[in-house]
Amino acid sequence: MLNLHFQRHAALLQLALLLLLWPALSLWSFLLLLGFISFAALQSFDKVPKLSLKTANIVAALTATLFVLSIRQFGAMHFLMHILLLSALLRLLALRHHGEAQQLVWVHYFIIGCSFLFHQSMTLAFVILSTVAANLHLHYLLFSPEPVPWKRLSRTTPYLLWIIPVWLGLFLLFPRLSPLWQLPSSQQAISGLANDIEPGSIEQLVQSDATAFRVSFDNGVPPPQSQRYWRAKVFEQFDGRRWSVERDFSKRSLRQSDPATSAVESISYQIIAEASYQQSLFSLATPTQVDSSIESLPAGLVQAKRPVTQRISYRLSSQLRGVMSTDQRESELNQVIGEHNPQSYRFAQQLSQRYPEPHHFAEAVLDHFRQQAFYYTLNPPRLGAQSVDDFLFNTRSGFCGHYASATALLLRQAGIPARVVGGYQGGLWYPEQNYLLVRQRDAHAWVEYLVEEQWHQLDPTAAIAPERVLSGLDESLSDADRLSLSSPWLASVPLLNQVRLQLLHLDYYWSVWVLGFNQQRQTALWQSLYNAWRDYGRTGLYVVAGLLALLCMAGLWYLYRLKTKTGSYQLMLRFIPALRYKPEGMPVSQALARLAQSNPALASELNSTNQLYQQWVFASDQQARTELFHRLKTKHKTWKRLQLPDGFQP
Amino acid sequence: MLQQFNAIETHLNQVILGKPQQIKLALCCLLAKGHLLLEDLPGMGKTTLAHALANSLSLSYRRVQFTSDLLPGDLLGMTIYDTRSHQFSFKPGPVFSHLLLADEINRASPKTQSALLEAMEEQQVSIDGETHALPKPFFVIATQNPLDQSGTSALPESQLDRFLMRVSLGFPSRAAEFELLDSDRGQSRLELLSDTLSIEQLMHLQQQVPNVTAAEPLLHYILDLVGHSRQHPDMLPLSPRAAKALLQAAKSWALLHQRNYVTAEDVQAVFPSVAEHRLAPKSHAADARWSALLLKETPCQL
Repeated sequence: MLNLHFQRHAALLQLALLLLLWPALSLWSFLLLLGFISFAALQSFDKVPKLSLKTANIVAALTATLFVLSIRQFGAMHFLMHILLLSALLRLLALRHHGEAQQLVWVHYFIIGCSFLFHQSMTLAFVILSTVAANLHLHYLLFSPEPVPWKRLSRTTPYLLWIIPVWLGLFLLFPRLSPLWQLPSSQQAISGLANDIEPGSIEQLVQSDATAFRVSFDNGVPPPQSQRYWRAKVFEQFDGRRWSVERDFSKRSLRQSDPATSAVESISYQIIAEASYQQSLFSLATPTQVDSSIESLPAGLVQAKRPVTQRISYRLSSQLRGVMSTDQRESELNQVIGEHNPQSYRFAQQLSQRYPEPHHFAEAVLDHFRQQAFYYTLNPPRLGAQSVDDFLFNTRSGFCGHYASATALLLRQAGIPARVVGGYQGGLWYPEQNYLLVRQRDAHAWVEYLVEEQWHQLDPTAAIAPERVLSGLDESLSDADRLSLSSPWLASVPLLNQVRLQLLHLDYYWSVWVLGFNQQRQTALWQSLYNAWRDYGRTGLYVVAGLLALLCMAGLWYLYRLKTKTGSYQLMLRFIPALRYKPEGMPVSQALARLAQSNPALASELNSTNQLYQQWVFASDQQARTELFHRLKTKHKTWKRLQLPDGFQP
Repeated sequence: MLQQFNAIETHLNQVILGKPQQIKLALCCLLAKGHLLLEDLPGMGKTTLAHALANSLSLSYRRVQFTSDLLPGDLLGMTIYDTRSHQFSFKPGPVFSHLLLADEINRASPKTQSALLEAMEEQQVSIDGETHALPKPFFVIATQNPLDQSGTSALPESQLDRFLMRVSLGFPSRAAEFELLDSDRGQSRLELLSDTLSIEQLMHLQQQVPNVTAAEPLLHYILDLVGHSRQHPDMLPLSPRAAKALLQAAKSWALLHQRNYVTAEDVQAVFPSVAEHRLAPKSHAADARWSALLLKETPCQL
């Protein structure tokens, strides 16, 4: 019969597992499973009886049917998680035999492993580790009626340290297999820029302080803030209010980078992107070299092969110059003006008569924003269906999206191909940690227009609010706007903010060194090991062998000293620590006799040791010394456990 | 031989009830060729012990009651003119025996005391220019009353030093005393002692004492103890003779325990009896405070 400790502990652990798998569950299934756990908890206090196997089977069948019915909602993967949890939970409810409990514990281990599908952050890695520990304890409870006493736990825990080398070795050397199955795209709401933007959508995005991605540069120095335009999406279709990504965008042909311009210096960098549940990724200007783990898109964009459900890291090289046009269709597509916003059309026509040259026209638009009473604000008034007309001639205040939208349309209406680009601008550079932190707060929209096969970047926000581009969003907002920006509550306390920042950095290292350790890096490690072997191998081997030999000799010498030279008293103290606590004037032999009295089980052992000791010390019997040393050494664990008699003061 | 010695010890324990430690110390003292000072109130069994020792070891035994008018001649003997033979002849005093019980030694005059102590030290007596050797072995058991009484002269430190050990018998336990009253055969029991050791055998044993091994660290421990006493402000320093006496007694003690090497425990066992009267002459044997303090304070790493 299993003990109640086991039951209680298991219920608690299953609650933790349920919470860990929360991303796979929907609310109703979560509540249902929670119900099972509370039932198990009640069982552990003997409030309700054990379920019979039959009942458990019926409940399992019913619940499984429910899950199967909603498999479309869950997706196959999450359905599997449901079934796993259900089996573990119901097994506990109908647990009767020792063997079943053992099975349950192993299923727990499996579920814990599965939770890594949903969590990769460092904090949760620790949480998962502690659930492993809890399950280990559960395993222990299978064989012991009582929980582990703390005293013993603290004594045995150091042995776990022996695992660390094995663990590190496995981490570094175990082959990184590519996943055997593909994780289905989940129902999670996407984060970051959506596939279309309309007035107000970027304003919502910048409310979030969450990390979008982090960048480290190979040369250690980021490009200046005003050049840090991280392109994520291009919006080429406009319906008068909303800009969206063209439907057949990804089917367009890719254009190879022009070799004539490859003389432009390129910068290499590594990006660690957070899960966004979208495929689009981020790049600077024109990417020239792209990691094999990601794909190039037209318009100089990059994307992941699958929606980003976990933090991923990829490497890129970019040339800081405008993107080249891919084909004729692209330029046609970006000249479509539609039948809306007539007022702006007239304005564009007037302006293009004065400035027929495209660059001059673009400059004139920005001048218009500069010279007229336009305002940059996080809380612009709502716009109607003719959003650009409304903005240009009516409200005249807006956020980056408004300006980009209006500029792109004006350019198109003047016959210049133009589009809105969405992405992030700027980012916080941490020189000590050597990485750039880009948050959702840095989300931005700007414009590109096409002149002679080359897209030119134009940021109207830089005209109306240069601080936004030069020093970030917070600087460019009015006080009232800044207050309306939600900031993390931790940031308001300086000390806590410091802690938050440090955690952020720690998280960065975690993702670089732990999550980022992929097959490539492993191969590189093997390669460098091989190189080191080839270059220094033989010398290294000699050095290591020499060191080992020295170590062995030192050890042997120490043993020899201990065996033959060490004073009797030091030798005894070394092996029988209890002797440290004897009264100062008490002879060792007497102390040993006292110890024999207080440890009856070891009395004969101690007395014969005492005999040998006296033989050696007082009769100078070297034979006795050898025997004594042998005895002390073979029983060295026994001596550590001696009970102290009265009068011995620790 | 040692077995016989131990058998004697067993028998002595049947005569003096409940005092095994003191009996052992007395035998140890005898084996180490040292003299014994018994410090006790009258009627504690000092005489019985001395008598029993003498009987069981087939030693000749004399008892002298020391009084203030006891003269050295009464003790040592004197040359008497024999009117018949017209010659001076030496009449040996009670000191010419193997075992001398000097009862209440502190009642005698210093002159008599020093005469005895000289005999103890030199193992011979010089009278009228003639040297008379004392019988071998020669063993003195002196007793003294610990209470200061009028008309007594306490032994000076230098003379106390001649005694290897000072032992107090002390009151017997209730059980031992009950046994004593119940049987009331103390005297007759004394005569029952049959297991005797010849003088030759005793001397042979005595010669074995110096052959007992004392390891180097042990000698250092003895020196530690002695050295510690010399730094202590409240006690008299132990002399090199005391150190020698300590080693001698410890060896003898080891031999009594049928060992041919001395342990630190041996030293500690005899230390209070050997050292207390040298550390503080005015102290009482029953309360060996200073030696206990020394033992406690001197680190023993053996």
